[in-house]
Amino acid sequence: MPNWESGDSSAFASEALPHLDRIYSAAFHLCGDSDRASDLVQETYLRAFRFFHQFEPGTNCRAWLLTILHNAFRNQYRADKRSPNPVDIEDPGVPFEALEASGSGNDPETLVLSEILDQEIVAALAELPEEFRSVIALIDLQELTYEEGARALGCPIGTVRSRLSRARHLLEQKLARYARERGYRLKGSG
Amino acid sequence: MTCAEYREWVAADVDGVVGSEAETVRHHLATCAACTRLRERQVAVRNLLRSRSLQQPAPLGLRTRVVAQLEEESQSRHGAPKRWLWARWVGLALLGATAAAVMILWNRDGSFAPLIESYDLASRGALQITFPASEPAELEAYYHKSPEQGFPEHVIDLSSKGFRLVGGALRDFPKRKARLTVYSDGQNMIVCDYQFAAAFPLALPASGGPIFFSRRGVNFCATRMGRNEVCVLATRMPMDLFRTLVGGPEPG
Repeated sequence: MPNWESGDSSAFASEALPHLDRIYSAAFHLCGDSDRASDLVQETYLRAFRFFHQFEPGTNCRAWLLTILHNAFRNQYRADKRSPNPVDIEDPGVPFEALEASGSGNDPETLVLSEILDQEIVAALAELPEEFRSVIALIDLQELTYEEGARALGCPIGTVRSRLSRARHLLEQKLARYARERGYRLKGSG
Repeated sequence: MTCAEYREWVAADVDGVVGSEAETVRHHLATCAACTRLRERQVAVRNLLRSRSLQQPAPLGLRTRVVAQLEEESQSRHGAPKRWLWARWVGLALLGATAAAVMILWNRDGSFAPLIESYDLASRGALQITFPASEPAELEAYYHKSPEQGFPEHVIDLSSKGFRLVGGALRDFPKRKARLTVYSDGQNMIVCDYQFAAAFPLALPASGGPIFFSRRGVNFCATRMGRNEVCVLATRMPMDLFRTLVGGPEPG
């Protein structure tokens, strides 16, 4: 435990530092890059420390840190052309119809996803546009509620709902493509 | 509920957070095989994401770096008053320097203010043309005959650049009588002023070539004419056009 004198500092250490691994993981899924994820985590903890007086004790500290993380990410990285799949912050999202036209929507067989490897899922996730990657990272991987996700993403719950629907749909199509490329078994094909 | 509407709700349905829409959702799924398949695929993806260990381990040393950074931040808070005192003096010094620079710039701009004002009057058709003329020689003869002391000794001919002469305007500028020559191409205007070289606020190249600069949205071209005079052309036409227009041969 760091040698901090003030009560606030030790409270911050005991509240926020235990979440560091999960925060790093979310940062990695947002950035798709270990170095930038580490920088983002440092930035997140510095901001959180400075604004710790705004944290309400008893509420979800990890969700609070993820909100700061996403804000820092949006500020620092979304304009960065090096960021994978950068999208406009006002991008309303890919319509479902467009997703359907290019993927497994026309495929009557349902993919057996259990054979997909973890690293293939991480790679498919990294290929998603940022807004979809973020919502999956926060809701499915960090298991935030829709309300917490909406706060972290800075959008209405309805947007979280529709964006997550699209994001999972798009991810499933990418995983299906991986599966086909690797010759994984599909349901109904033996 | 339509299929398009259900697609917006499918994630919430899979996660069991459809709230008051539950009955509507159930009814739609009972009658729509396509959306039922969509739901099954979303369940599969959701379960896959939540069942796998997709958490990425933090790199070795990251926790140490974060803690070190926070300790530094914590210490800087305790040292804040001293730093603030030091920063306050630096801030005051910077403020003073900025104020001085603003004053200098204001004075430099100030010497062009009467010309800017005259230009804007001319462009609104509100500048009183003392001697309307279409031929430079005609206006120059008038200037030579007029009793006021001052410039110009000659009138530039800009007709080859598409700017016809409108006339001359006598204006009271601070410490001098100005003779302004007004030109127009029907769309843009150029106003020419002659100033004393000794009082001109900007450095002019020894080569005698023109300098271009802008003040308050007005573009200027200044050219040294002989030992004592500076010919100043003012316009609000775009600088690149202005440069092309007068940047070649020296005015005059």
